[in-house]
Amino acid sequence: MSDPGFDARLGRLYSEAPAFPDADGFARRIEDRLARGWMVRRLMIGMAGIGGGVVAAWQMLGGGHLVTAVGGLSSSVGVAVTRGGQAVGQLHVLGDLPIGSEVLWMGLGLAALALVLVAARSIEEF
Amino acid sequence: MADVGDISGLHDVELAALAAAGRRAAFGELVRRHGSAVRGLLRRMGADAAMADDIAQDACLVAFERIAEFRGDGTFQAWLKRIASRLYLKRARRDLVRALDQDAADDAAAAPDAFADARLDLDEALRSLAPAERVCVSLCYGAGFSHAEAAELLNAPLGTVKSHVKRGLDRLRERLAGGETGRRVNE
Repeated sequence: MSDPGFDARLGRLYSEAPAFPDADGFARRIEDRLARGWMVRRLMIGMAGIGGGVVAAWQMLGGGHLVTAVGGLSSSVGVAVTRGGQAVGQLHVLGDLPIGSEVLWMGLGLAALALVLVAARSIEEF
Repeated sequence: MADVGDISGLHDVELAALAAAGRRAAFGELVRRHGSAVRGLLRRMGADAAMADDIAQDACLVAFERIAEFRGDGTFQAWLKRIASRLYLKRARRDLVRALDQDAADDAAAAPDAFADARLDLDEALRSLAPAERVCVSLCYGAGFSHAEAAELLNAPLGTVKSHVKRGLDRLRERLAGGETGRRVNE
């Protein structure tokens, strides 16, 4: 038969955690293992990226695509520089947009904030 | 990044939220608070010191992986204890199945006599229980599982678990009462 008084007492006894002298060391070991886990993940992702890059480069060299790609890239760079110059020349058009300058500034502010958050997160992680 | 001094004043639920956002220091603080309780429970369930620490570490790593599932409905310690109990049962399943199948009389005969000293505490009293009784009582009273949940975890009939819990409680009641009496006499 159930004895509520004894049940409660037993529950209390179980909830009294024993004191371990190495409790802090135990927590540190867990933190170290977690840190190692993240490091291994980063390494594996990095290695996978390098492997993928090597395979892609190998394929491009083997297929003669690299020469084509470099030719295309140089012409693309030329086009991009030309277009960039044209875009800078057209910046005054921003003033004609149906939005106030404060909206533009707000957008720039938000973009800056996002960059700061990304930087903070990166610093925390690395 | 907040240092340990900043996070040590936070509630478990807040720490869990920080840990879910990737703050390992917050999870470290949770382990600092509840790691001993988990290690203690595993030893009370019957694991030796090395095994208990090993499983407690694994349980903490599993908890970190699943920290987003912790919603704060119960306490963090209870949640962590449940994870650790499941891991222990998985690892010790073969031994436990054999122990659960044993006859109660065999269990009683196998139980060591740990009562030469009248000053008993729970750990000493638990050592007097048969393995099946010890694990069933600890699952229900230490890890907070219901009898039905314990039966499911142990893959044993509900009646078997209930009878192991009852026998274990009877023995604990007797031993702990003996300890109290002994303490009073000695005082």
